[in-house]
Amino acid sequence: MSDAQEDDLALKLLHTADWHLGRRFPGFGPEAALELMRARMSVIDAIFGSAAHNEVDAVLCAGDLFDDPQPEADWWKPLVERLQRYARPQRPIVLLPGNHDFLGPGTAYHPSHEFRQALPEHVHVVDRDDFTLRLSDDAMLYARPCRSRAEGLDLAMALPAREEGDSSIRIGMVHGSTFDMPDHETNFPIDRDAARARGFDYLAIGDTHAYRVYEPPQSPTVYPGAPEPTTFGERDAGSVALVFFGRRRRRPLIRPERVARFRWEERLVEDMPSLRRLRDEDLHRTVLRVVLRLRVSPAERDEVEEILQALGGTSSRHGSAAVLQVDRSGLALDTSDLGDVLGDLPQVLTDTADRLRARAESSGEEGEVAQRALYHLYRLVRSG
Amino acid sequence: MRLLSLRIRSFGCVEEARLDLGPGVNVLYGPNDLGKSTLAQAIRAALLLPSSHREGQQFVPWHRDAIPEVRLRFEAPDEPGSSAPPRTWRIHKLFGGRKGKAELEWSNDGVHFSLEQKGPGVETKLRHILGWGVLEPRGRGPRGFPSSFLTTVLLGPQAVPGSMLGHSLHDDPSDSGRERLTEALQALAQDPRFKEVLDAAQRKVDEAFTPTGKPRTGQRSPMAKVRQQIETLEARLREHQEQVNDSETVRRRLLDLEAARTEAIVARDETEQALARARAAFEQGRRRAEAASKEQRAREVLEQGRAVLAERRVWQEAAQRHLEGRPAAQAALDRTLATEHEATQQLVRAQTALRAVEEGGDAQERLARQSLETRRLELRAEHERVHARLRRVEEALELAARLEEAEERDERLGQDLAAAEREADQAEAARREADAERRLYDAALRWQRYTQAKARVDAAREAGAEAARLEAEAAERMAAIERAEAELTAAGLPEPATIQQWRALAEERRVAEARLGVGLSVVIERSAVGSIEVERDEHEPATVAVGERVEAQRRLRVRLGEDFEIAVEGGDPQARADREAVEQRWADEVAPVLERLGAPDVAAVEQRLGDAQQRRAELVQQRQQIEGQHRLVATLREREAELPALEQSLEASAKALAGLDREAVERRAGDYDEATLEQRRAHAEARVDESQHRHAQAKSRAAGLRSEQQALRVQLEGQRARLAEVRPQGDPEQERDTIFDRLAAIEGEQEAVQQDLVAHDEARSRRQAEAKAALDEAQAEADRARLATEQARRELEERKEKLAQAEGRLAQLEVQAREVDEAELLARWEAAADAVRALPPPESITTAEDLEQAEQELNARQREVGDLQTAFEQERGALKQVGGAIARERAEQTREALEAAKQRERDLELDYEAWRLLAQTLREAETAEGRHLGQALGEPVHERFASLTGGRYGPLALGRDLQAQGLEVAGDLRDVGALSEGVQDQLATILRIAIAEHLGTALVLDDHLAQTDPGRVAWFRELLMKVSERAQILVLTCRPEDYLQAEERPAAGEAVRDTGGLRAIDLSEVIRRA
Repeated sequence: MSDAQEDDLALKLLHTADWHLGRRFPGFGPEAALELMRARMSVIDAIFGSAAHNEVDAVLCAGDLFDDPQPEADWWKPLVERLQRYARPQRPIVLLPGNHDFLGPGTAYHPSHEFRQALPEHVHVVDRDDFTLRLSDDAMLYARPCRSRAEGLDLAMALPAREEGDSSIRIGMVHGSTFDMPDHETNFPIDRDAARARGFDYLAIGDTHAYRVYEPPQSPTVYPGAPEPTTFGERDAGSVALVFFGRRRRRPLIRPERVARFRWEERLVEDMPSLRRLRDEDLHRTVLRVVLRLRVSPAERDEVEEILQALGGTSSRHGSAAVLQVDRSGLALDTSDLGDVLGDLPQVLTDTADRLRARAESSGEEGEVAQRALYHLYRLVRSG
Repeated sequence: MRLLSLRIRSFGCVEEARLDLGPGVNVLYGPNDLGKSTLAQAIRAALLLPSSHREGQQFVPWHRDAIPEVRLRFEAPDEPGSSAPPRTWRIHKLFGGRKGKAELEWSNDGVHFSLEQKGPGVETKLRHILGWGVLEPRGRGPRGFPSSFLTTVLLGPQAVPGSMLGHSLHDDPSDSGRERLTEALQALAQDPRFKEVLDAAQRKVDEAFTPTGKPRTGQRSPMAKVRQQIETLEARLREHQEQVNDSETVRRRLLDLEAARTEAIVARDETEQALARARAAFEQGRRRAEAASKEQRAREVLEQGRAVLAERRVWQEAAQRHLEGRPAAQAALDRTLATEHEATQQLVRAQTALRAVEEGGDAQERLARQSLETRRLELRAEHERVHARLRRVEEALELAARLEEAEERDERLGQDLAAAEREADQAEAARREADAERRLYDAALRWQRYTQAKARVDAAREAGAEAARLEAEAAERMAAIERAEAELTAAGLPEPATIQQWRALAEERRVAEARLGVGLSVVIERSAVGSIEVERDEHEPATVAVGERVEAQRRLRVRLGEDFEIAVEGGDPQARADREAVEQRWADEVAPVLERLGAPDVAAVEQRLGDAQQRRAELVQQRQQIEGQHRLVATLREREAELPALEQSLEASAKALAGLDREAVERRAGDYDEATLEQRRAHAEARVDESQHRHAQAKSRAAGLRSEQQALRVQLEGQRARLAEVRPQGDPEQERDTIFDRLAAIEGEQEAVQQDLVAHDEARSRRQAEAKAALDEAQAEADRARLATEQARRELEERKEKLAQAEGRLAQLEVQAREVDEAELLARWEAAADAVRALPPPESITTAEDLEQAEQELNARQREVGDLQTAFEQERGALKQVGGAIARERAEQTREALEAAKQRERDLELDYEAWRLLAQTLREAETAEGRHLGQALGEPVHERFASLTGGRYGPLALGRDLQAQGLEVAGDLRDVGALSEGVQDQLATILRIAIAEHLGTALVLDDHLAQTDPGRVAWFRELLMKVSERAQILVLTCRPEDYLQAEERPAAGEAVRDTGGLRAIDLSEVIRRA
């Protein structure tokens, strides 16, 4: 953005949501799960770093910052530290309770909670249905918190409408799903036309983990998405939204900015060359799921395992991928050719291999077990 | 498999035998023909022979008919060859052909047993447990014992020595024996590479499966972690899924409620509109109804006026009609009154006639019937009187008969009573006689015991004296042995090892000497001296001529006259130096000893050493004899030590004889032995008891008879008194006949009177019916007349009444008619009708009820909307409590993790199944190949056989089925049949021991090694002791000295003695022959 443009700006905001601090990853091994959990906290530095870098006027956090309404101290204490570090009088931070971390007795946002009590002065919690905060001389924030995990109430439509003659910048902030989202009925449904209906210049929403912007342009409804992806298949996750309001026109400029540490990728591998190429890629910031759909000889099977070890690491060294998950359900073994490993073996071992080969021709589980038994034999005699 | 105990009964020549077996070597000894082989046969039968098998008939005892029975306890794992802890099994079989029975029980603690199988299932299970290659039984089975290679090896019956070498696994009916052997011999013969692979596969199998092949559970299972994870994830998924379901349910309910609420609001609004319409219609209808009501009333007034006028005309006509009909009605009444009077007269007459008939007709007729009744009553009274007389006469006759019978019975009772009293007296006399006899035999017995006690006292005293003599003799012999041992020690003979070293040194000397033998040849061509003397090698010096060639091997010495001597030695300097060194060692080590002993060579020393060893062995034997003498002395001393107790017993016996006629008792005691005396005393006691019993019985019977007689006599008195009462004056029989005649006459007359009465009553009934019919007809006629009169009277009264009514009504109508103005009333009505026509009718007719119903419906709709709103709010509240999208999200996350965990579990399961399949296939391939079996056993058998025979024979060639193919002798393979029977037996025994050792099972050696010398038998004893840690051995022998030292055998009178791993069982103590 040029200096001229910069001088012309009336308001700069950083809009983020869905941090899901404390989220667990049961589909991964313990070590990988911890790595992914920690990444959720470390991305906050990137978010506030971006806010500082872009000198925004406020940071709007649109809900689901915690994965649970009563997070463990391991999660809320480091967050307090970061908020203390980054909150400024000229850059307030607004925290909105979402459906995961809703507002209620005993929850983190409740005034009696230690987290709430430890928050610095310029961090505001949306704890009233009629919450408002002046963001600048001519900009006002209207927000309403979630008070339960799910509700049929349209929180956006519950915000006050623009009054006749009001020309200020009106920012709305709620947490929920717009009507074109699946299951919107129970998860705080939001009328897609709510921004225009209530006269907001920008409606900041949190809930879905992908970055989305809904029309109309002069009253956009925006999901910034999760700043750190939470699962495979989440498209456009890993960003925050930077929002710039000009002095002369109402239509804001919205720009996604990537802050995520990890990229989550799923790769379908159907031949050995593809797998070999994967080994050479730079994946140190990639949470990688390798889906194996190929048939390999015993020798190739060994190579598969070697490559997977290179990607996933061992107890003594890191893998080339940040985190590795492997789906082997499509990995089939073809033991018809065991190479020359049985060449010099005693007759009884070659007889054993012949017997197993005969069984391996059976279909179903019997054949599968025999294939594996042959592979075990192959490995034993090769290593011996 | 180890045998624990054997119990047999009625089995062949053995009546009963019981023995408990030790875990190591068991030497079961006894003389020939005691039944040793029967025990071996019983073990085979218990383990192998079905109880109903025809072969079982051979066990039936020789001299009586009894069912052979065997009970065998053994321990073995449930699966053959398994490393699981063994179970204790108990077999019980009765070999009774079709009546045979078999039971197999098991126990984990050897105390509490549970039934495993009964009947045919016992054999199936046993053959599975043993795994000896015997097929499961089918039907009655083939002839002979079920057999296989292993049954022959382990339980083989007595046979030609070494015949077992002709057997092999090839003929086994089942592969189980080969599999067991293959498994047991794996460690011996497997290729190292194969073993490495198999061990690795087995380690993986053991990680996931128990020894019995079941998947491991609990924390030891490699699946435990992933399964625990699956359980946790499944529980979490269920929880999330419930939340999702709750959310979904709430969401659906919320949507339904919202739809229902909208519908209810629409319905309520519609109802409100309908109510408004109904209210308008109702108002319009009400006003029109009021006008119509006025018009209706005007019309009614008009019509009422017109009706009054019309009615007046009608009533005027009716009054005129009633006035005119009155005279005719009065005339009809008069006619009917006359008819009624006539009918009444006729009815009175009929009633009079009927009453006369019912009262019995005329006086004569009544008199005749009364006479008949009187006569009937008289006859009945007389019949009763005569019948009472008849009963008394019959009672008198019966009493007389019973009295006679009772008197006879009284007489019989008297006779029985006398007999019982006589019998009691006889029994008492017999008791006294038997008691006297019992006392006599008792005294004789006491006398005999006294004499026996006296003999035992004498024997104890003699034992003391004998012990002293033996002790002195043993001391003398021991001193002689010690002297002889001192002499042997003093002889200073070298040890056998030293002799071996000398032999080696002598061989070295021979070799060193031989190495000098390069061959020497010399010819003296010219000689200045006269004689040439040559000494070559060890030969004596000899003179040779000039030019003569002299040949030598190692050494040559030539003397030329007196002055010249040439010495030549063969070999290189090293060889000569070696020979010198050897010679020096010989001179230092051997030669002085030979000199000291005065022996010419090593062989002589060896001969002396052999003699000394022989002498030492004799001395050891003598020591053993002396030790035996010491044991005998100890036994005698023990007997002597019993002397005080025996003397005490003798004194007690002497006291027991006090007061007896000793001579008479001694005579009686001399006639019989103790057993006969015991028997006779017991017999006398039995007679005393029997006499007492008879006496008591006779007394009891006499008392009973006496009591019965008294009761009978009381009864007799009573009967006599009654007879005196009822007996008639004359002859009771004649009296009874007279009464019978009179009774017949009375009954005849009663019948005639009854017939007259019946005829009389029938005539009267007939007349009564006729009078009744006439009366009914008169009554009907009178009723008809009365009805006609009533009708005529009612018609007349009706006419009078109607006339009066018409006149009254006319008077009223006249008054009303005077007030009616028809024209005015018509005008009023027309005005009201005009007013009604002026108001239009409403579109629908709405009543007040309709209106009220519509209001109620509106209220219901409003309540319904309220209820739905409340429910909607409640559901919204519920929605806050459930997870909604969060629950779905977490459920999805958990489901993915669960599927991944299940995939891992599946992967692991398949991997471990693959390991199991690999291990199993390795074993199958190994079994199929099978070559190693012979190799595996051949080596250890050869080692032992070589040790036994001093390396005389080469290795034993065993085929893949373990058949003996031959023995290597001097590089050739020789048939084992060419060996002597004794050697074949030894070789076969070594092979059998090796197999039992590797299987870790029991081996029965029945009278084997019969043609083996004592030295080799001793070698076998050592071998058996060595393998007894791994196999149980049962040696059945008639030569206990082959296996047992004297101190290892049980003492006299005892059956068993354990020494280390050796158990000696004296079968003569445990077998009771039939």
